[in-house]
Formats: sequence, structure tokens, C-alpha cells
Amino acid sequence: MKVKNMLKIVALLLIIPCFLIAQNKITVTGIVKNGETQEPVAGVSIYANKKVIGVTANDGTFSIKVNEDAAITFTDVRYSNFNLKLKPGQTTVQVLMKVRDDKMNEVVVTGYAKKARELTTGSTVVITAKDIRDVPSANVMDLLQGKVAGLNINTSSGAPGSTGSIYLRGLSNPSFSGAGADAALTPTSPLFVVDGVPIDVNSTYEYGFNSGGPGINPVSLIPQEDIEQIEILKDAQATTLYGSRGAYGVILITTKRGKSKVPIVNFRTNQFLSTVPNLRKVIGGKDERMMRLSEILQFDPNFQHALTTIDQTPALTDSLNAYYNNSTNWQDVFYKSTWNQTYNVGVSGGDQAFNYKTNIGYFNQKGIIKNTGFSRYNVDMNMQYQPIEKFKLSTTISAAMGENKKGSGNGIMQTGVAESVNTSSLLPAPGAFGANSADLAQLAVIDNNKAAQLNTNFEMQYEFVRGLRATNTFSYNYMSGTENTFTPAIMNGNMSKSYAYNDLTGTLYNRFMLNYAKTFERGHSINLYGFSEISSKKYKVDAIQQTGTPSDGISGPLGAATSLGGTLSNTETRDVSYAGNVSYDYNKKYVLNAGAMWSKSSISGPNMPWAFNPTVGLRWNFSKEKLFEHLTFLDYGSFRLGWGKSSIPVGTIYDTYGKYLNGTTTYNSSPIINIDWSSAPNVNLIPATKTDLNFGTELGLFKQRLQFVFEAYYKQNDNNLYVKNLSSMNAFSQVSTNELGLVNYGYELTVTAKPLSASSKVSWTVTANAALDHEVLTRLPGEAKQMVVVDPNTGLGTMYRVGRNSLSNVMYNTKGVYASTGDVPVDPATGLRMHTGAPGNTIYFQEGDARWTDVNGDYVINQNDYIVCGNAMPLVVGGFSSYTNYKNFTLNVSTSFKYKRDIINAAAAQAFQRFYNPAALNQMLPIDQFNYWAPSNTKGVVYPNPYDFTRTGDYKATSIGNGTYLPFRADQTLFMEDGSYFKINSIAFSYNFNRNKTKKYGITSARLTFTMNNVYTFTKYTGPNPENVTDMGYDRSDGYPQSKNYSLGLDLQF
Amino acid sequence: MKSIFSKLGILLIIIGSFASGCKKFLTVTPIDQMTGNEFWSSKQDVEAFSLGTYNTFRDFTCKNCFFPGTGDLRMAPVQWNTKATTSRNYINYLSNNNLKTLLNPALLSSSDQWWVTYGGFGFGNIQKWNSFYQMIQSANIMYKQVGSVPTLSEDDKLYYQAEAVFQRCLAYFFMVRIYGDVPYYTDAYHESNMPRTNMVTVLQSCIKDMGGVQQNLPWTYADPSLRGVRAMRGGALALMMHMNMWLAGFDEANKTDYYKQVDSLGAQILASKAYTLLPIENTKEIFKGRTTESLFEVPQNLNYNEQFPQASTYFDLVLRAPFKSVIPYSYIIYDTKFLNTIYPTVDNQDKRKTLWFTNGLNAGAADFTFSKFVNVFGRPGEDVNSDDDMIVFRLADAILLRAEACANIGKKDDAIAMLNMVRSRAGALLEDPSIADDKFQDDIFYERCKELMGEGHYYYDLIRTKRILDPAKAFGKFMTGEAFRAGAWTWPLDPSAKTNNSAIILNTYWSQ
Repeated sequence: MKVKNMLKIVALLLIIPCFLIAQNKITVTGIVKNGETQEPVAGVSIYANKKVIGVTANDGTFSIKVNEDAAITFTDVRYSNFNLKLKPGQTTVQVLMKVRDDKMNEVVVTGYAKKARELTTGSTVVITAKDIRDVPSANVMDLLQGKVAGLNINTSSGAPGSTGSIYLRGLSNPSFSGAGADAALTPTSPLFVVDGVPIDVNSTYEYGFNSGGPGINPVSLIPQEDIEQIEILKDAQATTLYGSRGAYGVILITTKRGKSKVPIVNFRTNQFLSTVPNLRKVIGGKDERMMRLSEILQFDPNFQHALTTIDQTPALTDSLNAYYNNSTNWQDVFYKSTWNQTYNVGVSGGDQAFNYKTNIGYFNQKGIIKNTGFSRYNVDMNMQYQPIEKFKLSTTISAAMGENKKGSGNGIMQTGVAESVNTSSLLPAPGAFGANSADLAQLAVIDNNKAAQLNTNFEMQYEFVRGLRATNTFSYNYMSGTENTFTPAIMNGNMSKSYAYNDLTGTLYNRFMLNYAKTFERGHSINLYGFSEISSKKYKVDAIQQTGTPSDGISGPLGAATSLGGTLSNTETRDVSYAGNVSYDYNKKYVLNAGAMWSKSSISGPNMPWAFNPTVGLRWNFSKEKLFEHLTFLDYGSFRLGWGKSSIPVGTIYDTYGKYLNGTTTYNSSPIINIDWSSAPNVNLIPATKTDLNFGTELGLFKQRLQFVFEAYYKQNDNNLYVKNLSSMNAFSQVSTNELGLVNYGYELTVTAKPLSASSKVSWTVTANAALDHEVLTRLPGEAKQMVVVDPNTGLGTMYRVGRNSLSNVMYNTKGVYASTGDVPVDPATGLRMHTGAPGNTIYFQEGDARWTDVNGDYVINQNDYIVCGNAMPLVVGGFSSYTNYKNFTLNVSTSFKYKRDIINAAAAQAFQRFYNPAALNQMLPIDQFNYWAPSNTKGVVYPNPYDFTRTGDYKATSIGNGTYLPFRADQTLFMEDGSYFKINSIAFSYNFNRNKTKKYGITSARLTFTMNNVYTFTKYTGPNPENVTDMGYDRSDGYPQSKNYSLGLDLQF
Repeated sequence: MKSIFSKLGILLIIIGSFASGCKKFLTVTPIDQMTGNEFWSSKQDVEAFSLGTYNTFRDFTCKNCFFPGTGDLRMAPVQWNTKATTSRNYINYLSNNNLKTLLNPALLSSSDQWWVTYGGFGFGNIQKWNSFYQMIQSANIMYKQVGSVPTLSEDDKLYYQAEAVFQRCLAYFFMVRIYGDVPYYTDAYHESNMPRTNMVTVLQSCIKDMGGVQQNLPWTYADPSLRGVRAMRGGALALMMHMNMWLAGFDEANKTDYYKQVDSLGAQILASKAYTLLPIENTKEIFKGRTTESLFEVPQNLNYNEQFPQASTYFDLVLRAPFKSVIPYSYIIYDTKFLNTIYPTVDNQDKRKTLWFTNGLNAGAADFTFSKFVNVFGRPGEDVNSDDDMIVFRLADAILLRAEACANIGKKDDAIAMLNMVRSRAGALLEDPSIADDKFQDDIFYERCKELMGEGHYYYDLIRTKRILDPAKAFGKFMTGEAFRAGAWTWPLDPSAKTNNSAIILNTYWSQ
């Protein structure tokens, strides 16, 4: 059939129905408005006799022709349906749509299938655009903090574009890589599914603090303005059909679609100021010099030695020398407030038969640290064509580019700046002849990091016979990351350095689904579907580096003799899955849902068994029972129970079979091959399993004025991957095993309330949620009962003990300070005072020293005196938000909190440690706010004497139990603090202009918003920010602080 | 009209049916690295892997000063020739068994600390058994995997398994001689911890394993480049002889059995007629390697760019100009009493006296030269290594071991026949059959000192025969019985052996 003919037919198809019903009609005109804000609502579908007869225009107006006695229904996903029966002779109407806040009417998606909430058996939470539109953010996930019960986002870095760690229902895998301040937990981020296409952020994208490449998470490339809805699937019942990758939860992101016959143009901009938070106070200039001098003179027991020290430190003596006569505020050099913008234009339109959307966006946030920042460019389009009811075709193309400037850090941490800022104020500000080159590096390194992404998606649906639909979804996702860094010669020991990195990821995905739905007589309905899924992902990384380009003017091309380069990674991964699901309900009262997925991945090798993920869920909508009919205050009520088991393939094919490497030499002139000794093959590696039991209840009371969701869950993670260190007699240094197990259990409560009556002019909605999560370690490698992993750099230990939370600290127990030397216990057997245990370096405690608990009672403080304490994961997380509307004004407040989380305040430890060498030209931080021991202050003090520098030794403990006296070591309870906090995330105030006033300019809706973001944090924690710490609860002094943002937004609709 | 959509619908079904996976789709072969899943598929893979195991042995024994340090210098009547200008005090530390100083960088001057860590000397590396366990794991993996290589013939499989056993036993034998008790396992991919196994058990197990498969090894190779380099039946038998001799020294209750074993194993080697003693004039050829005298050796070849670091070799210590034209003096000199004992003045016909000692037996510190290993291919003015292979076992060594074993079980005639076999090759005076028994046993020892000088046997002979307990029998060097029992004869084990394995106890003598 010719295309032309086809189009004719399509046109006919569209027109014919209109003619068929054109009899005894009247014309009705009117306007549809939001019942609360009085904003006109565009794109509302108008039905009569179950047929679409019109759609509201972008100014909310409509004109329809209907039978006089027709029952007219206005529908829109955002609002409750509005039913209208015309009065005789009525031809104009004003429709006030009621915002849909009845949770039961939400449409949720689980396992790629849409369902009414009252028929779901899993645990899901829906966040709509309204909740996330006011705060400009490089990463939309950050905005969910405190909004979803059980979702804990640890924003460890304030760097624009960085992504925090996302934990859904607590810690799922306690293995970590790196150590101490650099330790990063194995990522267990939920699976993201954007418009039906899965995007796995746990692989490829390098997590941790040493992430390579541009370090841009694919999630930060999704423009927040284009998001219609975010759905968070929490339990196995909801996630099973997403396979193993969905085992840690699934986050579904749906972008906007066109739904107004008249095209709608939406313009949105945010102009925002990112300001520097309170940085640490420093001691500057003369004060610093005097303090150093007095420390040396007062605490060096040898006066001559003190004088020599001073004489050999020109910064202290040569105060008239211009080089030393400064009071440089190093933080000022690097930190500054920035002015940033976002712009977004969306055009959409169409109806059920054909609709389209185009969205163009630009986001730019310069970091508060110079030479850092993130910008994003987006073009997204989608289109849907449904010429007949049986056939539907939709496509999506979205292109995005993220650009990230890392300065001398790595995009997450600001190690370079931290090093520079840690410089004495006596030294001059940056310059080629300045005090250090790291400071210049931060300002002068030229780096350019880009991530480009192209997503295409093509979906066809066909209904063969009534109720039986086949859908095929095909997508290709292409992502490329590049990094180019040029370090001028002066920054790098007179050798300029050029580095280029590029990675390519291509993911091909196809899903074929068959769906059959039928409603039988007497209220039985059944819905069956099954699908097969295949995906193939290719990933390749190349890097090249050249040291010593001919001059700073030449930063490339690379390839001369001194260049290094090669392919860092070149992998291909393929997955195949099959899934089936059956749902049954009786009168929507009793619901049964059961499904299973079989999946297999090439990662773990061809002999790995298929991962089998079954699930069963039940639901009882008890409010529909006759028994409760007379309870008028009960709108809805239900119980549900879900069970599911996931099997998650772990490790790579190398972990299972070993890696064989070409030798670097020959033997007897023949090539040789060795096995890679870094990891022992473990042919017994099996998939990790997660068993999940979820109980939930939902209640709606007093005409939706009070709604509750309560959930309880028990999650068992068995056979988790653990990389175990081996002893030298095994030749291999590590082996991957399945010997780690843990259990999470907890409760989640979400309450939504409307305290004011429906007739009140003010509409006020308050939502509060809290989730309590307990995590217990149940199994350790080698069936050990406990295990300490010690960080070789900081000496900090992490304890794994069966029956406890998995990440506990081991540290000295500090119980105050010895007020006088006489207070120090004396060993009655030897007559010796309590002392440290390093051989040849015994230090006897005296006045002003930390009083560490001598756990084993041997009067020697060493590694045997460690205690186990603390938990880096919070016990309770949650938040509440309030939405208030009065006439044209709206006030939206969002908060979050974490309760009971232990943080090691290493920043405070470091502030004290700076005093260990008064002659070293580090930054000096005031410690006046701490109650420390001094000869004049001996009673009830908290911190040991910081000034006694001759006895304190090197503060950098090189190994645990190193017996030197390190009073300000971070591994003591003195620096472990409660990191509980309550934070006002954002306050947004918005005003809707009266439509009548804007109409003459062709503007159908105008909204002005003023937003404050990261407003204030209430906490007892003494460090800078309890939120800005690593996953392991370690407060790094070189982290990237969170900026406070003040934003002015304008939202126009034409 | 609807047909277009039906067609699209059918297309959809077709696409959908493609979306079903199969095993082939899921098998991804990484292109950048080999996995064990696809590795063991051809004879070539097995060959390369087996050579990799030998390479591990070469890296440990020939890239550290292993053979000279532990075999020739330790407790030997040698000293640093102070005329040679560079500080070479390590020679004296070794000859006095003062390993506590040698291996403690804190006690060494900064210029001497490189002895401990530097690749060529690497005395600290010898403390770490990691390389031997790499050999053992590799051998165990090969033993297990060759069974499933599809293209190998049954004979090939038996051969490679026997070679794997040889490699494993070689590693255990060397480890036992250095560290004493060591954890013993033979399973592939071993990853559990275990304590140190009694060395008698270790060697007994090795002898049993090797004995079970030695007949699957060829007596020699048609390809001369493989001769001595790869496992041969003769090498396996020599290894078993050495292990038995070690056991005879440390499991005295059963020593007669061990000696009988050595006698019989030695007889098998000789009966095979596969190996010959080359004329002594062909010394250069013997030590260049790959000869019919070789039983097992580590190859070195300038042409293949496979060379041992200079510091790791024995010849570096005893060669001077003109062999190494820029080196005026040898670094070590031997005690003249030692040389005069092993080369008695009555025997002036021994060609080794003249062939191997360029400047005569009693050359002083100024011109001592031991020219047994002189395959030097360097231009004048270059300080280069000899290109000699490291001969680990050779026929003369096996013959003398048999002679020693026979002497211990009263087979004096056989013993003398063996001893004379080595002597007659060198043109030396033959042993008088009427010699006294104790004198005769000393002669066998002296013959070993003489014939195997510089081949890494001296110290181990002292230890296994317990001569070290008597200064009269060890040229003045001495270890008390108490120290010997506490493990003073072992090389200190590195404390890293305890990391992640609390069952390991370090050598008590050295960790005190």
C-alpha cells in the first residue's frame, strides 16, 4: 500500500467518527481550571459516551459539540475525573478540577505494566513533577532526599553534577574498596528505568573517589524539567521483573508527553546564586605567628632547642620579609559564590492519535570552588502515533551532553584545593613563585570533561485479538565520556603534562512482551503477560598521556616518545531474560499477583546457572467489604503481603575462571603465559541471593484528609560477594567468595494530611515519612565471627562482627583527660605509670594526656585496648514536606533528617594535629571552641593538651596499634560524634500571575518562584556538615562543601 | 487498509522472536584478556603455561643471588676479597651465617641496603616463598586442566601431568632446603589456610608423587634446545635422589631406606644410557648447557635476551680480567686450606686444577680466578656476564649422590666405582679400594666440593650430612646442635607469610 493512500485512510479514520455522531448536538464552551490555584489546565481530555470529543486548549478553554443529555467527563492524570451533566439550555461551563491526591487512583508501573494502585501488591512510591520542579539541581536524585520513606541518599559531595550513594532500605552489601577516608562501599544503586529503558549505573560508571574519566553519572544527564513522574519500587514484589539488576530497587523515570491539541510552549528559567557555606575559621597573620612562637617557647622543654627551631623557621623570625609578611586567606583564593542559570523550552501537543514533545534544556552550575562546575545540554523528543486503537507506535530520541570541570580534584573530592588551603597564612597568595604549586594547579589546570549521551527508543504495540497485545521495545543508548587535562610545566616539575581519556558505551536493548487481559463475569479479572529481554553492552576505554610537551603552548596532539597510552578496558556484556506474570483480582477486592524472571548474563561466564527470581503478592482491599461499608470515614483501606527472591550473579568471568596473562619475557625463546596472581579463580562462585518479605497497609480517612502507608520488611542478603585477602602460601593475593551475608529489617511510615477543611481558602498538605532500618551481619568469610579490616594509611579499622551492624569502628575509648600526672594509674606490679606499648618508644601518660580505657588491664595502651563502636549507616531516615496554597501563592517546604549515625570527625582531629609541628607552615585552625587541657584548665576538659608538641609524635598513625602517643588520632571515641541532623532542604515560594493579566501577551500561565536550597541544618555535630561525609561515616577535610543556593525561577506557558 | 498495521504487527512478532537468547549469544569472549574458561584449549596454551612455571623458578632462583648466596657462600670457607674495591660485606655475612645483619636494612649502611632489596642480590626476596607457591599453584592448575584440553593426545596429557608434578616437587624441594617445614598441598586453586607441614612428610609425599609419574617423562628430547631445560626422566630421578638424601639427613631412623632408594634411582639413571659425562676439556660446553650431561638446568641466552642479572650469579664473584675486562680482582677468595684439602697435592693429574683455576690453585687475593663458567661473549672493555646456564642437576652430581648413598649402606665397591667415574673423567687419581671407611666418606664429600663448586650444592651438603656441627669437618665453620635444631640452618622466613594466615609460625631461630 502506498504511503499516500495510507495517510488518506488515516485521515479518514480520524474524521469519520466525528461525522457519525454529529446529530442533535449543541455546542458547549467553557474553561477548565485547577481548583486550587485557579490556573487554567491545558490538555484535559473530554469524553462523552466513552469517546474523546475534545481537549482543552493551552489557555484551558474548550469548545465541544455534544448531545444535550450527554454525560461529559473531563479527565487528566493529574486530576480526579470531573463528571458533568448539562442543565437544560446550558452552553457555558467552568470546570474546577480537583488535584488528584487520592493515592488509590495513582497509576503505578511495575514490571513494565501499568496498574491502578489498588491492584498493586508491591511497595512503590510516586513522586510527581510538582515535588521536584522548584529547586534547580544538577542531579534530580538529590531532590528525593527526605521525600521517600526508605530512600537514603548520602550526598557525600557538594560538587555540581556528582551523585550521592543511593541506598534503598539500608545497606545491601558491606564490602568496600579503598581504605579510610577513600573507602567507598560497593555500589548498590537502584536500577534506573527511563521511559521503559533500563539504565544500569552500578557498572561502567566508576564510583568511588578515584573515579576515572569525566565522572558524570548518566542520571545527571536527565533534565529535571522534563520529568513527569518518578516512581520508586522498593520490594521484590515490585522489582522482580526487572531482573537481577533491580535487586536493589528500581527507580522509574517517566518524561513528559504531548497531550494538548493546541501546541503548548513552556519556558522555564532559574537564575540562581550558589553561595559558599561557612568555611572553617583560620588563624591568620600576626596571630598565627605569635601562636606558633608561644607554642614553641612554652612547650619545648629545651630552651636552646626552642630557639634553634625558631631561628630555622624564617617565616617566624623574618616577619618583615614580604614573602612571609602576609595574612593570606587561602580559602578565599579558591572559594567564591557563583551565579548560575538554567533554561528549558518545551513544546508539546497532540492527542491520543498523534502526539509529540520536544524539550530543549540548558543547565549550568559553576562550582563554588574555582575551576569546577557542571553544565548540561539537552534535546529530548518523543512522539506517539496511534492511528487505530489496535496499533500504537512511539519513539523517543534524547541527546544530552554533560560537561564537568574537576579542577585539581576528581569531581567528587577536592584533594588539590584541600592541600593548597592547608597552607600557612604567612605565605603569599598564588603565583608562579608562590608557596605551593597545587594552588596554581587548581587555578591553571585546563581540563575539559564531557559526557555525551544519545538515547533512542522505538516501541510498537499491536492488539491481535481483543485483550491480547504484543509490544516490542527497542532502544539503543550510546554514551561517550572524554577527558582532556593539560597541566602547564610550572605545575608539574617543569614538565607539562597532557592527558586524554575517552570511553564509549553502547547498549542495545530489546524487549518483546505479550499481554492478555480479560474481565470475566461476576467480577473476576485476569491479566497475564510475559516478555523476553535481551541486551548487549559494549564498553571501551582508552587513555593517553604525554609528559613534557615541547612548550606550554602545545598541549597536543599526543604520540611522541614520552607518551603513554593504551586501552584500559574493553568489555562486552550480554544479558538475556524471560519473565512471566499473572495477576488476578476479584471485584478489585482480592488481588493475587505472581511472577518470575529467569535471567542470565555473560559477565559470570557460560556455566553460571540462570538466575531465577520468583515473586508472589497478595492484597486485600478490606474497605470494599460489606462489613466496612457503613464506616463513612474510611475511604480506602488495604493490606498487602509480598514475597520475592532474587538471584544476583556476582563477580566477573575472571573471578570464576581466572585471568591468563602474556608474560613480559620469553623462556628458552618461547612465549610464556602466567595466570594472574592478583585474583584466584573460584569455580564455586554462585549468585548472591536476596529474599525479601514485605507487609504493607494503606489507609485513607475522612475524604482523603488523612492517608497512611505503613510498611514492614525483612530482607535477607545471602552469598554476597566478598573479596578475601589470601596468605602468601596461596600465591594468589585475593579470591572472590560468596561468604558474606546480612539481614535488613525495618519499618516505614508515610502520612499525608490535610489539616484544613476542604472549604478553607487555604489548601495545606503535609507529608511526613520516616524509615527505621536495622542491619545485621549474619555471615563472614571462613565462618569467622569477626574480622577487622585496617586501613594501612590512617590506621583506622573497620570491624565486621556477626550479629552487629556490618560497618563498625574499632577505636580507643577516650574517657576525658588526665587532669594531673597523679591521676594516671600506676601498675602495682611494676610501679610504672600507664604507658603506650611501642617497643623502644614507650611514652608514659601525664597530665593533659588522653585518658584511654585500658581494656585488658595491663597498664599498656595498645591495639588490645580497642573497642568496637559506631555505625556509619543511620538508624532512621525521613523527612517531611509541606505544601500550602492560598489563592495565587504557594509555599513549598521540604526537609529531611537522619537519626543516629556515627561520624568520625577527622576534620576536628586534623585541626588539632596541625599543632604537632609549630615550625611546619600548615594552615592553623583556631581551637578555642574546644575545651582542651591547659595548665590553667585541668578539670572536666574534653580534649588533650594540643600544644605539647614534643611528646605527641607523628600524628599519622602508620599502623594500628602503633604505640606512639598520638593524642589526636582519629581512631578514638573522642572524635566519633553523633551525626544526627534535621535539615531544611528547600523553601520555595511561588506566585501565579492572574491569567487575565497575562493573556494579552499571549501567556496562558506565568509563575514566579523564589527558592532557597540547603537552607539550614540543625545538628549537634561539631564538624562542618554532617551530610557531607563519606559512606563510611568519615568526615574528610578535603571534601567538596555543599553550596547554599538562592534561586529565582520563572515558568511561562504559551 | 488495516493490512498495513497487520503487517507491522507481524513484523513485531518477527522482531520479538529474535529476542530470544541462546547460549551462543551469552558466550562473550573478551578480546583483551584470556579467561580460564577459554584458555586451556590447545597444546600451545599448555606449552606456554608450563614455560611460565619454569620462568617463575628462573625469576626466583636466578634473578636473586640465590644459588651462590644460599648454596656456595653460606657457611663456606670464602671471604670478601677486599682488594676488589666495592663493599661486598654480604659475602662475609653469608659465610658466617650472619643473616640477622644481612637481612636487616637498619643494621646496614645505606649503600649496603640494596643487597636486601635490589633485584640482582635480593637476599630479602629469598625470605619470601611466594614464587614457590606460584610454581606450586601453577603446576597444580596445569595438572588439573590438561585433562580437559580437547586437542591433547593421552600421551601428551600424561607427559604434561608428569611435568607439572616435577615442577611442584622441585618447588617443594627447594623450599624445604631453605625454610624447613612448609605448608604442603597439591590441589588446584588452593585457597584455604594451613600450618606448616613437617618437611619429612612434604618430601616423602613428593617422592611418592614423582615416583608415580616419572616414567611418563622422556629420558631426553630429540630437540636439543629442550635438553635439560624441560623436565626429563633423569631430572626427575635426580630430584628424587636429592630429596631422599635430604630425608636421610633429617629422618635418621629410616636413613637406610632412603640411601637404598638413592642407590636404585642412581642406577636407573646410569642404566638408561641417556646421559653421559662429557670430557672435562669440554667444560665450557657442559655449562653452556643443553648437553647430555645435564639433568635439569635454567637456561640463559644472550641471543634470546634472556639473561640473569650479574649480581645473582656465581661467576660474577670469581671471574676477573681478562674474562671480565674491567674487573681487576675477583670478589671472593677461598680459604687455601679448603682448596688444598679438596685438591690434594699428591694428585697433580686432576685436569680441573688447571682448567678451572686459571692462575693456579693457590692464587692469592690479587689474581684468584675460578674459570669454570667462562662462556663470555663480550667485547673488550665490557663487563658482561658469562652466558652459562644455571645447571641445577647434572649427571656427575647424581653419580656422587649415589656414591655417598652406597658408602652409607656398605656398598663400598659400588661407591668407589661411582667416585672413580667422576674422577676418571677429570683425569684425577682413582680412589684406592683399600682406603679406610671414614676417610673414604670424606673423599666423596671432597669430590662433591670439587666437582660441584659454584653450582649451589656446598651448603646443603654441609647441612644434610650434619658436617656443619663439627668445625673440623666444615673447614672451621660451625653451628651448635642447639642452633641447628632451632633452625639456624634455615633462611629466615619473611613475616609477611603470617599475613592473613595465623597458622604460620616463623622460623624460631631467626625470629628470636
